[in-house]
This record gives sequence, C-alpha cells and structure tokens, in this order.
Amino acid sequence: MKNKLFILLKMQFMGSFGINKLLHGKRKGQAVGFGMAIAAVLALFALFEGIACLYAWLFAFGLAEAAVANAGSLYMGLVFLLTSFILFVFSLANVNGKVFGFRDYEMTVSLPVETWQIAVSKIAFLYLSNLAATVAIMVPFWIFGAAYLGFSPATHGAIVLLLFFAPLFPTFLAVFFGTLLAIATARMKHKAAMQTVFFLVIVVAAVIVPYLLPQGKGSGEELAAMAAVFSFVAVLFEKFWVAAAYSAVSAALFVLPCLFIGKFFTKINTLILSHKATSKYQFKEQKTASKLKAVFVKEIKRLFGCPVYAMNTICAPVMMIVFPVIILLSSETDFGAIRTLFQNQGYFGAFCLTLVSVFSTIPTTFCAISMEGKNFWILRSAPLSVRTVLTAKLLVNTVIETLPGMVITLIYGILLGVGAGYIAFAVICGALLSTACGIFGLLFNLKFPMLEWENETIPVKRGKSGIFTMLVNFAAFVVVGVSGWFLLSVMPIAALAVMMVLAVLYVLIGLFFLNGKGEDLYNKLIG
Amino acid sequence: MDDLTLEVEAGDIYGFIGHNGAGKSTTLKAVVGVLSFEQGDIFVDGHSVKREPLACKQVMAFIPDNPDLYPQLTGIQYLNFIADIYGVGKAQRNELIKKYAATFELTDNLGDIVSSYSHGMKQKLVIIGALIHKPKLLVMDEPFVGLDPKATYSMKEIMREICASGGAIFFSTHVLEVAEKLCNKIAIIKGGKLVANGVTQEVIGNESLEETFLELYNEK
Repeated sequence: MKNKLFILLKMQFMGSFGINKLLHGKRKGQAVGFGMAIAAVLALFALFEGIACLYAWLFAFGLAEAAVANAGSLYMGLVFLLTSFILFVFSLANVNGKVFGFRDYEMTVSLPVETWQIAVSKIAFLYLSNLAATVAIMVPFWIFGAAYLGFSPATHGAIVLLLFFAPLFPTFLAVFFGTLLAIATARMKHKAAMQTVFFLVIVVAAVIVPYLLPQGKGSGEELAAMAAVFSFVAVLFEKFWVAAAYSAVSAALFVLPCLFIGKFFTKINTLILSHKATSKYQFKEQKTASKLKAVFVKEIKRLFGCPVYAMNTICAPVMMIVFPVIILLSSETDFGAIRTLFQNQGYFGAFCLTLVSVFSTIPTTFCAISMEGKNFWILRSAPLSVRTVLTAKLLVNTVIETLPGMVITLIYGILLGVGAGYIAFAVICGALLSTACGIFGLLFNLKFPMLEWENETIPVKRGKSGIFTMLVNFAAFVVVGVSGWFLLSVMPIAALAVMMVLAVLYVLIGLFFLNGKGEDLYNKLIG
Repeated sequence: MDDLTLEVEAGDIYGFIGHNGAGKSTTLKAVVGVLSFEQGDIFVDGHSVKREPLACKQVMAFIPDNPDLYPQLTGIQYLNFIADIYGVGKAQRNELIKKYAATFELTDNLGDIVSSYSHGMKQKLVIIGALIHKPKLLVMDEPFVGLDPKATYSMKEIMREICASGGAIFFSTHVLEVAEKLCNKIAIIKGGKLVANGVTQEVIGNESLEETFLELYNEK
C-alpha cells in the first residue's frame, strides 16, 4: 500500500497548475494538446529564466565593475535575502486557503488518514513549491555570479546546500504568521480586507526599510554601506559551516509548525471555517442606486475582499503613494540629483510614463471576469447590458490604478519643479495609457476566462489573461517610450506629441475591440 | 436539447422532471439567459430571449440549484444589489425585503457576510432576491434543496400566491410528490427530448407521478 502522505501530496500536485485538467479535460476548450501545453510551459519557463538571467547579469556585472570586497558572497547573500522575502510573501498569502480552510477540507478530513499527515502534506507541498521557485531564481544568479565574481569552493558548497534549505525558513515564517493571522481574523466580519491590509503593510515596509538604512554618498560609498548592512547574509556564503548551521536551524524550526499544526489541525480549521454570525441586524430604510453604481460597488468589494487579487493590483497604486515619501526620506543629494535630471523637462514625461507603465501593466481588469467564477449566473440572469458590466469593471481600474497615477504624477511634477505644460502632458498621457491597459486587460480576460476554480489564487495567479495583459501592455509602453525617447533630446515637443498620439491610438484600438469582439466574447461565456 | 417546445402560461406552476443529466438545468439556464443556444428561440412575455434579452430578464427571476453568491457582501448588500439591478424603487424594496426576510426568518442575519451563511440561508437569500422585483416568471432549479420544512412550506405558499396574481412558475425538481401536488402542468424530459407534457392529471392518469415517470424511463 502506498504511503498515505505520498498519496495526499500526489493529489495536491495533480490538482495544481491545471495538470489534471490538461490530462483529462473533456469540456470544449479545456483539452489542450499535450505537446502544445508542454511547449507553453517551457516558453513561460524560458521567459522567466530569461528575465532572471538579465537581472543576474546586470547585478553581477555591476558588482564586478565596482570591485567591492567580498562581492561574491554579498551578491549571493542579497539574492538569498530577496528570494526568501518573495517566498515568504507568496507563502503567507497561501497559508489561509492552502494549509487551512481549503475547499475539500471536509472530504479530506473524513478520510481514514491521520490529521497530522494531512497537515504535513499541506506544509510539505508549500515547501516543494517554494523549492522549485528557489531553484528557478537562484540558479541563474549562481551561474552569472560564478562567471563574473569568481566564487570560492565554500560559496559553491553553500549555494548547493541552501538551494534545498533556503525555502525552509521563509516557509516556517509564513506558516507561523499565516496561522496567527488566520486565527486572529477568523471571527472578524471583514477578515479578507484585514488580511489585505496586513499584506500591504508588509510589502510597503519592505520597500521603505532599505531607504531608512545608513546610506553613503557616491556609488562607491553606497556599495560599501550596502556591504556593511548586508554582511549578515553575506557570511552565509563565505563560510560553509555558517550555511550548514543555518540549514540545521531552519530545518529544526520548520518541524515546529508541522508539529503544532499537526496537533491542532482540526481545531484551527474549525475556528476558521465555522463563521460566527452576529445575527443582530436591525432593518433600516434602504437606498437605491443606479445599475452601474451597483455593479461598480460590487466589484470594489470583490477586489478588497480577496487578498491575493488586491495584492496583485492594489500594491502598485500604494507604491505610487509610498515612492514620493521615500524621495522625501532620501538624502538631499538623491533628491537634488533627481531635480537636476529633470531640468530637461522632457525627461519628466518619460520618467512618469515609465512609472505608470510599471504600475499599470497589471490592471484590475485582467481577472475581473474570471473572479465572477460560479457567481457569474447572477450577472448573466440579470437585466444588465454587457456594456454596463464591462464599464463597471473598467471604472474600478480607473479608480484603483488611473486616478492615483494622475494624482501622484501631479505631486511628482510639483516636487521636482517641472513646468505646468509638462505636468499636464505626463498626467494625461499616463491616464490614457493606464486606461488602455485596463481595456486590454478586460479584453484578454474575456478571451481567456477562467470561471471554474476552487481557489481565488487560481484565476489571479494562473490565468493566461494575466500573462498576455502584462506582455502586451509592456510592449505598448516600450513602443510609446522608445518612440518618444529618440526624439526627446532633439525635439522635445515632437516627442511628447508622438507619445500622446500613440497613447490615444492605444485607447482607441482597445475600445474598438472591446465594443465589437469584447461584447461577443462576453455573450459566449458560460457561467 | 432536441426539439423542445413548451408553453408556460400565466397562472401555471409548471414542473420540469427528468433524470440527472437529462437537460433540465440546461433548459432552465437557457430560458433565463445564463446559457446561449444555437437553434430555436425562447419568448418571455412576448420578447425573444435571443433578440431582447434585457426585456426578458427584467420580468424573470432565476433561482439556481446551487446558491453561489458573492461571499464578500452582506445579505442586505446582496439584496440591495439585486434591487438596484432590477430598478426596484425604495418603497417596494423596503416593503418586500422586510416581508420576505421575516417569512424566511432571515432578518437578523441580513447584516452578516454571505460567506458566513449556511447552504439553506444562502438559498433563502437567493429566493428573497428573486422575489423583490415581483417577477412575472419565476424559473427555479431544485428550489427546495437545503430549505428547512417551514421555509419549504412558505416557498410553496409564495409560489401559489405568484400564480394567483397572474405570474407563472417553471421549476425543476426530483421530489415527485411535491410536483404532483403543487404543479398544474408537468413536463418530463429524457435525453434532451420531451417525453411527456401537459396538464398534470392528463399526464399521470390514474397512476402516481412516480409510476408514470418510471414507466417513461422504462424502469418499472
């Protein structure tokens, strides 16, 4: 008889990443050719690794040029720290829903399997997912680091060891805090919104903290200051025994949540899954609203009610608010340097568009249709025009992405002393591009909807629409940016005009497809 | 579905019966516009579902077999959302939400988030949502599943009231005793084809609906 833990792990694996649907999908459009699917997965993997290689090369080359002492261990230490942080954030978002409160909890617990085995299988699957991510991130950095910085045998040994042990500590931290968070918010009415706020605070803190650390003047001093601050992680890759000790402590810590959750698995899940109804509602006079407002409000509540959706889309506008604060917190030299750069005011427009591109390529619309899921019958059976539904979904993007972008561009313009005309250009052009991003996000989600899902993470993280939206919007920003950049130093006004025309064109193309093809696609959706 | 023709008239409580997978839910979902269809047409109050879907949906309400609702809304927020979509005025929504929430004993829970509701409570909320715009045609897929006995009784009474006031009901059920007592018309579907249809007494004759159903399915 197969080990039950292995069977539980296998079931999770088959149910993840669309593997079972790929192998056994019977519905029209679900059964994809195996070769096609493998090709798509390989292409995505190649894209991800390509980006990792680019960053690895840039970082390794930069450190090699700066000739910093212990550059190799500092380089790998920073990569290790970043990887751990990414794993922690993603795992934390997955604890409630993957380790606890998962959809098939009742069925799984009713099986003749020890509850500790279920708990361990859940945490082990989280670790294995993180292990795959660690290998995918760290190996390209390892290769480029070895090529440009020349690692010692101890560093190579530490890397090999930490490839397997690095995911343990962030997984432990995520399970620990995720469990605390799940328990603390279990009886709260708006627990999803509370979790969203918690995640945002963590991400914002992670962005701000490095700016609060001691900083030097000039690139040499900056690197020296960075080396001093991060020497605690660099040491992991300098002495093999430190890496071995860290691995041993991580493994020991990792066992703790397994033991604790294994013992209290049913109790924790009962607390999370049994909602406490207040049953104290006193009937009040109700107010009316238009159809558009009703759908819009529903969409906003949906966004804030799903931490993983909110984290994917709200992080960007929150960062837009945080960055001016960071600029103010930075040293006078940094701020002065930025002001000097933008004395060529055309660069301000390019800078703001770059900023908007970073924040707008993932609009709220990229999974706005998929998020309807099994509730889609409500919109389909209601007397709502397709245009009203799509407009409401676009309006959410306008409020969450476009409007904050406009306000922050305005604040940047004032802070940096840029002329009113240039500010107006940056605000309008950025808003147009952000709107177009939203339209294309909606179009791609209509083209690649994902209405059948068991967990909200699936349509947000694994939908094809997210990938296409990001790539196409990014390409559009590159086209607009490159077109303007070439003209910027020669004829700034012409450059801005070209960028504005391209932005308007992008919006018009999006609207053309949304009004025609988009409405047809919506009508063909099956809820 | 294969060549399905049915006419639900004002005052009808029309029961739609068949095996699992016979096509009941597909038919009901096509009527309310959740599923599109290639051939034929469906008319509601003289409007084509294909050409004038909004006019049809405005006078209909749908209660699905599984009450999947927006989990992040409270009960009262969901009802207001539905009332806004159907353009229900302030006075009517206040009166009917109060009335039906009391009927289904859900008033105290209207301030709670939908994800905290039990299956039966969600079902009651969907039913209230379906009733607050006074639909002319109520389309229901297994409406009694998950309801407690009191709510089931209330639901039957409401169905009779709707029909007495000139409305119509078209619903699927596996509870043949209920269908036999409640419905004035019955349609039995098998493999996507209509095998019996008409006034309940004419369809079943001297037998029970259960016996008629099993005979039609060659299982007796």
